[in-house]
Amino acid sequence: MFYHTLDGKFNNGWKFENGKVTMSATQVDENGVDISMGAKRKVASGTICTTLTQEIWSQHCGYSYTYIEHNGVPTNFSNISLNCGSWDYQGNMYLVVCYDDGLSVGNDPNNGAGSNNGGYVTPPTTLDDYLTNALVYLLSKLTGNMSLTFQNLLNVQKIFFVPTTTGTSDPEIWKYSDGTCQVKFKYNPTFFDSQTSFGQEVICIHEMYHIYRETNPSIIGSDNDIDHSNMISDSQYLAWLKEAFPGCSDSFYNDLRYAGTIGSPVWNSLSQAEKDRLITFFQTNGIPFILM
Amino acid sequence: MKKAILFITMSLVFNILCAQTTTEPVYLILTSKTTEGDGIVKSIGKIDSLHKTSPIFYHVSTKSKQIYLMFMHFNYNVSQLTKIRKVKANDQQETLTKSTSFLKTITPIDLDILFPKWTKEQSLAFRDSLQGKKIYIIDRSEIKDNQIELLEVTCIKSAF
Repeated sequence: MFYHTLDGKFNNGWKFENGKVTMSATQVDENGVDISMGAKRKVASGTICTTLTQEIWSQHCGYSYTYIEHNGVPTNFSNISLNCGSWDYQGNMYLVVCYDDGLSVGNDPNNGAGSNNGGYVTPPTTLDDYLTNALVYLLSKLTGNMSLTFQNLLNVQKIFFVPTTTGTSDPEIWKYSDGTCQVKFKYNPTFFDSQTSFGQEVICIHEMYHIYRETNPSIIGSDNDIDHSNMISDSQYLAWLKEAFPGCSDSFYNDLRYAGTIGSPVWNSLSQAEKDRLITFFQTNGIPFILM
Repeated sequence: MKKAILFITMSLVFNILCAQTTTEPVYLILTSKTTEGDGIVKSIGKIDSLHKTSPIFYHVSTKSKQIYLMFMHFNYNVSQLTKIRKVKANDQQETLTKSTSFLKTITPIDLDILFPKWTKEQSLAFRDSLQGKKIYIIDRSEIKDNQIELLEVTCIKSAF
């Protein structure tokens, strides 16, 4: 459950399980003081909290394109070109993310039953906001060790959201000698916007796995193709998908692992019948892949 | 009179806009086989209540040259599809039947000639040239009784 301010900025978020708050993401100022609005909720006892810091940078871009009108609706966008200005520093965003480590006993009497009191939900106003929210949303959906892994992922010095006309989401990680790193999270706004929220989450979790492998010092030899191959074989990625999208069949998760791998060696090694089956699975379930 | 001038002006603006935004369909003519491997392979997916007609796939590949293009055709039963997700523009692709004389009115791209000569880079350039265009496949192996079938397809690009 996510609450936003009237101008569409992320305010705070809560995860409820069986009427109990098991995870929260709260916006704080640079001193760690809670600056989120609305009703406060308390996470159950036995929680672990981490403060995440993100420098938010933005870049103003404008698109020009041609399109065909079909029944009055613009469609078949083509000749898309992008013109961007310089990067502007928008300030830091601080989030305190807490989750129940599962050691608490019984229900906390301060916890509500998941009502919407004190909050309101408005759609994010910019794509950068949307992507920030999508990352925080995925973080909130994950629990336990997976959540800690994601917190480490997000605890990079800077995350840039870079609009691009080609490709979709191809993160670049810049590592520095002091051990810090920056992530450029590329995305095609036209493609990203045309996806369902499920499809957008699939893109984000796919890209976060790339970031995870790139930023993990124990993993040597991460590149796009190798990462895609690991998405199929790594039990951790499967566990992430299961946590992010609970309640689906094993075959659904196994097929979902191939999202975003078309054209990679791991995809090319499939039989044509397997490719046909997976494309049908993607197309039917709104799982993104790029069409010309 | 003013109304007539306004109408003419609006019509001109509309026509100019249409001229700028409409693209001609691309016709690909090819001869498919149905056995898996290098070449142009047609495969037909399973039909169920979700699909009005079977999904159809064309794989254009040469393993040694790392050439791989894939075209797909879907014609969903949208009343069933809406139970899963929102309907998109390419969910109901068409299949048209025309006389073979139609071939004299168009300039199809002959993949039987082009594809064997391609390098990997040329195949990717060809794929990119299809961006935003309506594509029809004419399969020589499907020509019967002086009738050809135009199968609307989409070209699949790559990973993200």
